[in-house]
Amino acid sequence: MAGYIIRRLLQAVIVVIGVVFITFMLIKLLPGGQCAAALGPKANPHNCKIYNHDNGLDKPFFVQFWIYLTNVLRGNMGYSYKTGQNIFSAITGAMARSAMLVLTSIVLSFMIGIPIGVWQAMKRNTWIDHSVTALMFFFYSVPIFVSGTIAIYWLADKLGYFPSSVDPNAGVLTIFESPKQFILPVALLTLAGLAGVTRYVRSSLLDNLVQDYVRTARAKGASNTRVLFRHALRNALLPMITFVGLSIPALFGGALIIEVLFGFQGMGMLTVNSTLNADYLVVVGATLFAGLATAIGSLVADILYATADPRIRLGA
Amino acid sequence: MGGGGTGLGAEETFQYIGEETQSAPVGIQDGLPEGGEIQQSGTVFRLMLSVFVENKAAVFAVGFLIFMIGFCWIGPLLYHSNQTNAAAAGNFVNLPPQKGFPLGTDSAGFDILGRLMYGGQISMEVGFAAALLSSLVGTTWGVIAGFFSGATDSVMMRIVDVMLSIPALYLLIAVSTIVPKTATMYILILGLLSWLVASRLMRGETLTLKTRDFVQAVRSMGGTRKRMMFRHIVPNSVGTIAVYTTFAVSDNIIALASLSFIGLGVQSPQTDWGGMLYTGSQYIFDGYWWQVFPVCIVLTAVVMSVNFIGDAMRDAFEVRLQRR
Repeated sequence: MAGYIIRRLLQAVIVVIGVVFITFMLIKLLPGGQCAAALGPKANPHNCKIYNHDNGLDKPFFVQFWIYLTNVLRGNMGYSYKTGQNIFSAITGAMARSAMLVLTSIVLSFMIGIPIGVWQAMKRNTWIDHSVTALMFFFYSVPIFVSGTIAIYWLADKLGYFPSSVDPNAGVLTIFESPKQFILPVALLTLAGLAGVTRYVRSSLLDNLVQDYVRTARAKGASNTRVLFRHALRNALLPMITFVGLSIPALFGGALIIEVLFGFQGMGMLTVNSTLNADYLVVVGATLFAGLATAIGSLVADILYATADPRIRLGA
Repeated sequence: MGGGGTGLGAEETFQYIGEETQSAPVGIQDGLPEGGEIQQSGTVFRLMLSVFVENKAAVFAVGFLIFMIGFCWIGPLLYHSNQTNAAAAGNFVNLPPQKGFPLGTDSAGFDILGRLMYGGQISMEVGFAAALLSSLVGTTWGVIAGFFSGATDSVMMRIVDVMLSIPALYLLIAVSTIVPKTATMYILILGLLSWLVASRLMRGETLTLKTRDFVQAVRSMGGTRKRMMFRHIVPNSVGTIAVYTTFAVSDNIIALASLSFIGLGVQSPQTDWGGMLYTGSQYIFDGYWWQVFPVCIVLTAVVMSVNFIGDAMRDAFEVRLQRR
């Protein structure tokens, strides 16, 4: 167990350094380099020279990377040339709001998806199973900006059931204080994640139901319900922990579109606005944070999984 | 994967394929029925084709996709509309469907029906080409990592881990601010940023295939490692690669559309379906439904058909393994 965790931690460190390196290269690749990113595309050459000297950009490549890495780890990511804001605090604030949105929809898609998946497995290969599969296939295939646009056009604008945008000053806790404005965004994100969850639960449960231990449980007289819920389901749901870790990047992507559609000031909105402002340091910073969040998320998921599964806990 | 493990025994009725063609009896010789007719099947490819054709939705999807390709490329030859001259279009802004404009016009005055064809060209072109590029890169990367194992494998797969942990859309946004926003560029950046999953799949395939006798035999006959990888391992993973590539088409169509939808895709007067939806959604509260619904339907239908085909192909390729 300790060995596994240490190995996994090392891997996470490598991934984090790699993510920082990619974002470092993104800044390097921008025409005009870091100076253009930090001072804006129209920065004059004289200022650039001073900026480069002050920030160690006249030093060798790897020294520059080291400076960048240590700055990032200290939370020092510079200031937006457009808004003058501290980039680190702008991103962390936006990130917390996005995380709220993403976490709420993860929890909801599990609460709805797991029972549906179990139900499908119980009714496997009946018309119910097939029609739920078809419905989920539909949800999976509809791009989130399509469902979002149609929801705003129809549910928010035409029928007026829901607000078509989220309060621009919404904070992390607004979702609990005035939930109505979050119904559409959260529902759309949940629907997008639902198909994956039900499909996973259904197939994982069906795979477990043909295992020997299930036969043993039946043979010793356990009822169907007991076999399903106490034996098969617990084993089937265990790998879902890693599934959460793996679906984090996709959810961030989906949340980006939803944030833009509903005007919610999260990471996605920040990124898109900064792109339009040519505020490149913020764009790269958000990319970096999205990557770090994913790396940490999947690290936590893997460690949780290892703790929960005795085969890994006791094995390594 | 999938719930295929259960209840198959009863359903797995054997098929009569190519009975009269007497093609080479490759593989499939299930239990012969007592004193009954001799069952014979065609090649693996024919067997897969027959399973694919069984899936009516997928066959319909193939038909629909061919129709859409015709619609986008042959359509403009039959239905002429102005898609490039912004000045001339300026007189017809936001017209509802009417004579001369069957699906109305958008906020720049371009005809929507013609624009669906024109935008579809870029959407599908980028989707298909980027998918091919990503499976090409991913396959090569994966087969090399899996074949050489050890340090090469570790380094190559850590690179994949790193790139996978950055949400694709964020990376795409950051990169697309640097590069010129043309269709060719989007094929390149989408293709070169989305091969990661393919490489993982291909590495897995390689790890199992490289120990098999027929691959080892190549070595004993003096074949090079390149030959083992690209003439024996890769062709035997064609199922995995083909299924991956199919889903990659719909993923890349959506990825480009997502970028365009937030205003970072191909630039006007060029457009793709996501860009059309972006333009339409700017006026969403004015009730210009014709700027939103047609493109939503077309985009979703194409993505869904591609996914149907991918699903059916997965079943078809799995069959090769199941019924052996």
